Amino acid sequence: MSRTEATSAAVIVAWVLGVALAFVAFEPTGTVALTPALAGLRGLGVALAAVVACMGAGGALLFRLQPDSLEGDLGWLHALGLGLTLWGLISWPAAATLGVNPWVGAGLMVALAAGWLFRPPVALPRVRLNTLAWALLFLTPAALAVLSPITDTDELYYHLALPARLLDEGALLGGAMMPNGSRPLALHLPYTWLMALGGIAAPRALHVLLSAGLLLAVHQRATAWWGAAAGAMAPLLLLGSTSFLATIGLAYADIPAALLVLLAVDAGLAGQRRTLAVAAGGALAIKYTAVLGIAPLFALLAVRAMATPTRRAYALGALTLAGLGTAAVVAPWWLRNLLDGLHPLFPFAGWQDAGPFVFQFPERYGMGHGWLDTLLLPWNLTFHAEHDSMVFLGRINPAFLALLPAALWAAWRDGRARMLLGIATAGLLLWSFGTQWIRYLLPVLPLAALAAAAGLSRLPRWAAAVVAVCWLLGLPSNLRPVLGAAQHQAPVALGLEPPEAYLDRELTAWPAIQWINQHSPADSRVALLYSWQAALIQRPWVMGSVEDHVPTRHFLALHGDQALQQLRDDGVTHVLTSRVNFLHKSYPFLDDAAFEAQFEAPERQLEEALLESGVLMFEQGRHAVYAL
Amino acid sequence: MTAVNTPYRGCFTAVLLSVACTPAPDVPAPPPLSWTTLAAAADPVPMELELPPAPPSSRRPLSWLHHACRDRRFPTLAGPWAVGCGPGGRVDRAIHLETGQRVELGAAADSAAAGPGWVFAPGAEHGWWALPSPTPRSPWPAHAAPIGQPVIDGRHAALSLEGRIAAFELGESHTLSRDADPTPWFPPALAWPTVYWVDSRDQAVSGLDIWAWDTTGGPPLPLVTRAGDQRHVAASRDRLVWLDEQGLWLHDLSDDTRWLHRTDTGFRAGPSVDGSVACWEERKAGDVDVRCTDGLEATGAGDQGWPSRWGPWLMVRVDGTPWLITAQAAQVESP
Repeated sequence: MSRTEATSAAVIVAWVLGVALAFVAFEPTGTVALTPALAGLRGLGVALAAVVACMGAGGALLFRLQPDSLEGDLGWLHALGLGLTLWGLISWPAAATLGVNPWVGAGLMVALAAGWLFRPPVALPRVRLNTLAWALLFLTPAALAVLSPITDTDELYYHLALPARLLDEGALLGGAMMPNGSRPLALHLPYTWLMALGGIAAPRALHVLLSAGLLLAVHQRATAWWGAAAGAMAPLLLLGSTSFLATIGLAYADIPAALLVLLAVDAGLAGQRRTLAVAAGGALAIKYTAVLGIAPLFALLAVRAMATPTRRAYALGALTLAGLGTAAVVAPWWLRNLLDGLHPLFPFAGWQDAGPFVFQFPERYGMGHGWLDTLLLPWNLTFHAEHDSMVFLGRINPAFLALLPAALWAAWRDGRARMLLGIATAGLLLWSFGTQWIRYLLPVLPLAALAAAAGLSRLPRWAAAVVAVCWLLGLPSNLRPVLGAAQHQAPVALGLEPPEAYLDRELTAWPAIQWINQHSPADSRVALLYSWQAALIQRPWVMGSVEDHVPTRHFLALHGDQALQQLRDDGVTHVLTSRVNFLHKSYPFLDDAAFEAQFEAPERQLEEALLESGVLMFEQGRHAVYAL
Repeated sequence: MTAVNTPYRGCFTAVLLSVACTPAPDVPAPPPLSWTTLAAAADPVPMELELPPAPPSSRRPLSWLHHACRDRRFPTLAGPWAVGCGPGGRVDRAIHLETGQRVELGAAADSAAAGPGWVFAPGAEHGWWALPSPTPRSPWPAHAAPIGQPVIDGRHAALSLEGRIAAFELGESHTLSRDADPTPWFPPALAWPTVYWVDSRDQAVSGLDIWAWDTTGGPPLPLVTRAGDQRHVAASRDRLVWLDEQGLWLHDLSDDTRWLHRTDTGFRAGPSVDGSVACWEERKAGDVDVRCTDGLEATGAGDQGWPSRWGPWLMVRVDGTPWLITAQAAQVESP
């Protein structure tokens, strides 16, 4: 291109951008308001910068650690995965020593980006236009979610609440009064830095980018291994499932963990054990449910090593070292809890000092935990799962089950498909023993999608078309919750509705939260008892509980009739509480006495304590604010 | 001790004879609010309020209103009517305390205001019910959602809005309003033509305060700005009542005298005031009871709360169940 041509092109591009901006700015009906769009762009910019920084650091490290991981078509993603793991690892000492503030976040990102100074050979992926079009189509609801105020339960109580609280406090928090702060923070500290620099849109945008990376990786691997049809079907299986699609635009941990599990499997299949160790450790540090993929992966690699006719001891030794490397990546978070005087796996290990309080009741989820229920899981998961009920709390596309016979056929003939199907099946089995929440299955869902895509590749074109019809038939049911949420979010995301009006519409607790934010003294400190909307509270808060409300019930059991006095001693001035009215039918596995002791009595105890020494300052519906 | 004054003269006989009791017309309105009256009333030294012995009374449960309401301030009294909720927890029914006449209200509301013979729920789908009519009249043209329970005196209503206090005459479309910072949830009080409310604007300095606005003219003015949270303001004719950390305050608007009853109150429900009589919750050693300035009380084991008073009747909830306590003898006149 000549200099004149380049200049002309630049002028034309400037003109195009000017027309686009003017169209938005002068649009007479105000369909696109600039405020949320600018907030979204700022978040996206910060998230993109973080991705670039991670790829720089990860690429530089990988180039020395396992250069062959950078050579394949997923080299860019391995660099990103390693960079993300590194970011989580160094965030703990940085936060512990320097505090939690935007400067530390910016400094860490600059340090990661310094990896590019070593010129790592990271080749960016080539994305075809039609792939991009498909992605944009399916990611539109996610874009609306990124631009919307926080109303999702998990973001409210944990994923975005914790970063906001850490930034507010300027330090790390944890222990019984802040149990979520004692979970591994390998992703939530990066989320904290992103929020500090780019608002709530930034961690959500990073999640979208990681999800897109995962989809692209699944597409690339399936295409390379089994052809174009498999390459198309693998990501579509994920996108056609509510449990995957619904969380893309939210700052969650399941898909980032799934991405690292996929990278660990990819490295394991290629015999890149150092990359395997880091990815597996990173996955576990992001979310322990990654063990559904990591444990079977190591088990199958061990079986494969045992079956090696030569150098068996070497193979097993190398695998053991990889396992130790994995543990080394996740162990800092165990160490942190030990240093805090907690169980290394707190809060997942439960609360023991006031009688046994389990983290979750697995019996509440799914359709049973007997051997017959386990056998029927593929059927039940496909046909009976509901997005809004304890019956698996999610939905997956029926094409997964439809492709099962074909996947078995492919596994019979293809070593990779066999490995992927083996890990996915073992992961499903492990999952069936615990909390049967489909979102917890996400770490192995991309592997299942790859195995199903391998099956599709074995079918003739007309049979593949029938599978596509099955996928399409599964789409309305899977899209319904996602499109429903998008319909709710569109006005506020486009700036047509004030965020306060949206929150008032979507959150029954919003008036109580607003009371705290606007009418409690500026130096108030709020305890969230039987309530969880922490991310929206603009005062320092402690506790916070959701679902079984374990932290609240544990606190009440531990301190008895001195519970409110204990809160006062801890500097708490106000309580935000909700009347839960636990239903025994939700806990059918507890007898009357246990249900009364564990659920009804504590709620009554709090009500009586507040009546005895609290002052009701606001109440609407089942949400109330008390002054202590 | 003298017999009860306006407007219930004759009501006790009516109760005994089980015939309808109609309140007498309102007493003259209190003097208009001005800087002069406020200066005179500027934190006068209160007199200690002593409660007379409890008069004889009878009590009965109001079983038709036993359903828990979404707004815990219901069930409550609306003059000689008790207004409560159905199984869905919405305000949708009323029962006449003398005749037992039951009315199921159309267009049930999550929350409402109850005045003597009136129920008012803001919003286009509601309006005010002149009991026993089950049909709401004239929906109030709400331009903004109220941030707390409104108040109604039978002729006028007042509401707290975000950043404003508003008042209007029932049936009129014209609404008067002024900039204010009413604290959500605490309803305003109405002693027409003056509206009183709990205001947050100086919270950092003096906590919650009571402000007043004479709707016939002039700006809103602070009435009580003592340290602490003055809250739960209520008014009836020339009596203004509020609660704070010290206890129950009564303010006679006709001569600006104040009484203070030191007690632990204001922790849940607001006081109920009817003419010269005020009732409130108080707690002692973990027990919650209801007491009134005329000596009527609801005490004993369990939690007695959410007082609502009109004439000889005191409605309370005992461990959540509504009970009606009826004073059987002439009452002691309250200060």
